[in-house]
Amino acid sequence: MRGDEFDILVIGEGLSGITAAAAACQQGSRVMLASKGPGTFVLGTACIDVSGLDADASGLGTNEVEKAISFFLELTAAAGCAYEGGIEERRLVPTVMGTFAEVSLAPRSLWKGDPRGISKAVVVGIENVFAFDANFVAERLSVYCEDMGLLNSYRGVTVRLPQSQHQHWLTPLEIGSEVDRNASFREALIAALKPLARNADLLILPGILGLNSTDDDVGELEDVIGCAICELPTVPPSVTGLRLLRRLESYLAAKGTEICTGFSVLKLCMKGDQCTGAMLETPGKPRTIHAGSVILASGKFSHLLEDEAVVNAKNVLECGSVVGKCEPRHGNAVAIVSGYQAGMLTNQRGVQYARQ
Amino acid sequence: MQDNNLKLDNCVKCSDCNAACPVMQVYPAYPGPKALGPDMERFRREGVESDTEWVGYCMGCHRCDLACPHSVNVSQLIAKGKADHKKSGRLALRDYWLARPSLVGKLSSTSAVLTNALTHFSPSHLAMSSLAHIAPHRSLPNYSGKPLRMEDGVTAGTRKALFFPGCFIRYNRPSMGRQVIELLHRNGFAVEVTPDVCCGMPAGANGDAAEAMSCVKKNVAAMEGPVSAGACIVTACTSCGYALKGDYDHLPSNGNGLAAAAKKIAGNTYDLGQLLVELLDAGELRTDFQPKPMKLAYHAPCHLKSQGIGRPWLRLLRAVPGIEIQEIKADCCGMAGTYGLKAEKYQISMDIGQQLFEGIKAYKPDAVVTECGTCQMQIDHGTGLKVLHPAEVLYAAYQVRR
Amino acid sequence: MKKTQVVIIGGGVTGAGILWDLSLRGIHAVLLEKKDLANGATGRCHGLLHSGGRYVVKDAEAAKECISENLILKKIAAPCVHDIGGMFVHVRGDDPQYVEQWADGCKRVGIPTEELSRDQALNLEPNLPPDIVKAYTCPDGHIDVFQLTLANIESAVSRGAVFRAYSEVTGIELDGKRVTGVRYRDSNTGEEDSIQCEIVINASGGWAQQVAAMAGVEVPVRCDRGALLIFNHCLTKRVVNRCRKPGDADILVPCGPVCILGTSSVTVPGPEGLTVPPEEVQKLLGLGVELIPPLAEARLLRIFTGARPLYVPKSVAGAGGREVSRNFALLDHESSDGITGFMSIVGGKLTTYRLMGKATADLVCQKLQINQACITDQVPLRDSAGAEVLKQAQKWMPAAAIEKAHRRLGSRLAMVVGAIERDPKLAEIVCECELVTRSELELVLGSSAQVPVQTIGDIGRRTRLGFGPCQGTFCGYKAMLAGYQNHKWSGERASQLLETYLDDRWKGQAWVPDGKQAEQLSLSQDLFDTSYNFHKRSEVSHAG
Repeated sequence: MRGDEFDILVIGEGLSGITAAAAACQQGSRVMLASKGPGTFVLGTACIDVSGLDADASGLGTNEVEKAISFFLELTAAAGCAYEGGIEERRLVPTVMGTFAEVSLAPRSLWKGDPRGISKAVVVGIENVFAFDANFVAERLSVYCEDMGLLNSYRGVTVRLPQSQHQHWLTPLEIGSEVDRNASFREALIAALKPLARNADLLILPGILGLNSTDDDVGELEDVIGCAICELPTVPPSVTGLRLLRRLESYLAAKGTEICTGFSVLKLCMKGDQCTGAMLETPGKPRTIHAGSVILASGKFSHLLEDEAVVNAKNVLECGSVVGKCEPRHGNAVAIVSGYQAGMLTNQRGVQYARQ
Repeated sequence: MQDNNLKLDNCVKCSDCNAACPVMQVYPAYPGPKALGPDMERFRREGVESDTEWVGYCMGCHRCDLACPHSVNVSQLIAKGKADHKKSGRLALRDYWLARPSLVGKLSSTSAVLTNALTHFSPSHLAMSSLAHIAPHRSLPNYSGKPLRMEDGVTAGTRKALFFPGCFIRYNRPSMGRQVIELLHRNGFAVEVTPDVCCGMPAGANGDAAEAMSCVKKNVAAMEGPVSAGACIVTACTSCGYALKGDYDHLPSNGNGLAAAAKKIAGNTYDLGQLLVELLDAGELRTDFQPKPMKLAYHAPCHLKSQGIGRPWLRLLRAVPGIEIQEIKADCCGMAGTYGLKAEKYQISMDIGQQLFEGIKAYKPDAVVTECGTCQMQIDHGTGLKVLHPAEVLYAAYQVRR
Repeated sequence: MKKTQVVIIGGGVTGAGILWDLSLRGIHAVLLEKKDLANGATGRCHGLLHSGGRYVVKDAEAAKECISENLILKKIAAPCVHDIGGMFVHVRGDDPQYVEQWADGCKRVGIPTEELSRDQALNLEPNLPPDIVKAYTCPDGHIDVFQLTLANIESAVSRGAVFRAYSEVTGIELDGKRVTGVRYRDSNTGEEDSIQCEIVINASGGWAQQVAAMAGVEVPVRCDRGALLIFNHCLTKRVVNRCRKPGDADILVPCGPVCILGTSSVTVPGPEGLTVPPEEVQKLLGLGVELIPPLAEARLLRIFTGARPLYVPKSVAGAGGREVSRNFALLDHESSDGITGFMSIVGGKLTTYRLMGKATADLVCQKLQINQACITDQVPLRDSAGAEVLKQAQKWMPAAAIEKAHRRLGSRLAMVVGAIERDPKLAEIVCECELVTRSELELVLGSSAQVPVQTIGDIGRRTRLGFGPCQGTFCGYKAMLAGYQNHKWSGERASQLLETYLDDRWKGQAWVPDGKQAEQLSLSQDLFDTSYNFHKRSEVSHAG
């Protein structure tokens, strides 16, 4: 195959696009994932709520949901950013507002944050990181637990991490980068957290444990520190979201997906009622990607479906929020399920995806 | 107010740009692309005094542009700040010369032996570095006494290429430039070499907008003719490539035709790897390669990534029997053109490159290949390994005898 | 606070101005406001410091007042005033006769203007329509309405006056036909209290009729709603007015890093529950584009609305909103209604608030038989920070942050800088769109603040936090944490406040018609739903 020829072109690097690309790739197709920037999952908690999905106006059958979720669990585990949970499961994950969100699946670290099954948790703030207040989070989580009749205790503690003398405040992003690059910083982090671990069964931290870390890296840190860690996604830029993106990208690339992020799709190329690919808005002149099928995972503000021809094309499938509305809490679930389906279906070329 | 390309209004403050910025990750005091780009532009339009020396800490790597989901042209907004920034003293004088590599190249090559002696002889090197605020740890590149000239072109060929070597290849690695010409010639191109005018990116990066525009004008004037006559412009340096494709594509239109002419230049510029891989796909590239058993580490320059053309050299070099080549995953090498030469930015530059250096060393390659001249300098400095332009490897594989 | 000489009802700029004037004359007064300062028309206008040009053709008296006050405010409230100048533009197709009358009027009234050719005007303001006929400069400016109101109140409080926000007056106490005090309810605690006083001043603007009714008096105020559109960035350097008979969407005011287009005029039954119908937004946009064509592509951040309180005495009851005089009326209810100790000040506009304060304070002095003249035209409301403080600040804050903080704080910038010097981490910027530092937040939240903050919206009014593109989604959270850390709010209170604040910020954005702000809202919504997880209290299932 020529350089810019692919079996499948996936447009959009959100949860639906990534899942679609992974599914298509697994089936042996030559896949390109093109996107203008990362998806919105980077900004939030990336948790998945499946309960009530069948009642929502999304028309996804239980069997399909099961297969897709199962695939997603395998994908994230293989990529080193494992999720926990399942269709029948419900867990409470803590947030930076000190609330609990009820979800079906969450990244492994967050999944550990369920208040049932732990008794003593320490919320750890970092000195000079202003936008995460351990006392606030601990106080609120305690109140919600009390409301629910649970006997947990949460206490807030602030630890000091190494800073240069010129640096008066820290952000989670900077700490995450230091954790990646600087072994002595990691040592200092461990030294700060170890004492807290002695008297707790969970440490709740803001997302700081590296932008490039894998599950194994985080697991190692937990082993050395001696306690389970729950990392909370902070207000953007959130380290946990970025890490998830990087791990998934890395995995896709290792599986042979060509990833081209940074350029808008100018238009989809049509020949009769077939879509032949897309033009990316690269500097100088557009880059034409030829593809046997196209998966649109370009999000709810995408203009690509304004073209009638595209909508009617037999080899264009849509997934994720570009398809239409569902309850906000189901957004990620719909993204993954529809992404998986699109990825699997495009491998049987000529099949029209039944849109919701 | 020219806003069509900047897309200021698209910014939703999501900080995806900050998350992608290599400087922010290693230098916490740096305000970051969001603050120096779209935020600052709003303040400029408000009429608030907003000049800050921090704009000089932007590397111009374009990672923020690529990361922005809403197409805000973050690096161009920061460049406006660079152009407005008032410098003084020794730093201003230093940056004046760094903005003019063509001039420095001309002067240095006329006295190449002396220049190279001075830059390599410790005491004089140290003296120059401290006077000019150049990072003392860096060894400066050699200048050739025989820079690349228009005479180096070849007239025979069925297709026409206009080779824009860029100042680094022209003055510091002209022999490599000659290899590029030979590569193109081998594959059927008549090659013309452009006159020695800088692409203008170093000037823009150092805040000298007037000098950058002067380069644009001269280049457009020189290249218009050959392009109209059917030549495609070929760059072997990815920064020159981005400049011609990206910066020249979006000049504000002043009614004098320059913007339109520059756009035509942009639309006819090819990265060397991009061109050769198109030939490969069309079955038109000569593939009479001698086996070259080598383990190569590949680094993709930031300005290659921002051209959006993929990794053509990975495919090209994999077509040579015996070559084992992997891209080492890293955000940025940290050199950023003239940035890493500056004393006050040296440590930032090395901290950013750390990930790449470690990745390369862990791979244990025979050599490293990368298309950007300053990336080559940085990787050499950070790993001590041999660093080549991928074209040199291909040239060797053709076993060309001159 | 049980007893005072004067109670003023209404914490807009008028009430604040009266408080200040009285304090300078040594008269003790309490200002009661049911929400936060500038809740009514004051906080819902352009913030235009009129040169008077708008009135010069139809109402020369009003215009004279404007230009005179314009110059005074630039002197006494210097840090709050952004002296950007203005332009009146003759848009092609508009009535040339009006333009001539306008120019003559300015001469007669004494408003300094300079005629500009089309090219000269376009050179100064490239976003004007390329085919304008000509334009005139004028000394318009922009004034931060919150800082102006705050400055009046703070200066008065430092001289012994009292200000109570979130205190709604529930009744005026009378002994026969004489005012003896007011009853009010603290909206946070729900507790009722009362204050004895000799004089009650009704400065409640759109609520004037409701308040007057508490004393059994009628004050004919008509509420006239105007909608204002806020755009994401400044499209002009100065105020731009359309030189024609005053109508809708004929003024664009740069207001910090955003600009505001306004306005409209629609009679409404009262000052609350106001909404802006989509057709009105489209109409305003259509007209705005005639004045500044690039508005068509500019991102609309927010739409807000407020009610002008127009005094409509029976003689002009039939007139439209703009025809009613924008002059003010001071109603002495002792002479008109036989209620001793009660007066209402109604109508007027932001630019002439000081005159309204003067007239009212003069009457109060008369009633109390105090012989003190008004000196509010001479005493500065806010001092500028000295050159040394500005230089000191450079060590810690970016240039743009210093300039903006100075405009908000005046000489109190020294306190912000001093706090940073003692604790450098307070230089961290909390709101990036308005460059608000942690230090400034703490000053506003701290006990030394003379006008205490009670909600996150209050913080926003004092610092402009949340006034940028994110509309408080990111910085609101940080402001909440600052309040929590400064022991102002418990965790529960802080959470509630953030939710209320973000709901409020939502309203104005949800009215924006097209897709641009929708992407911002979508991001905000995602955050609310996930990282913040508002509105949800989980029910525990003891399985799992």
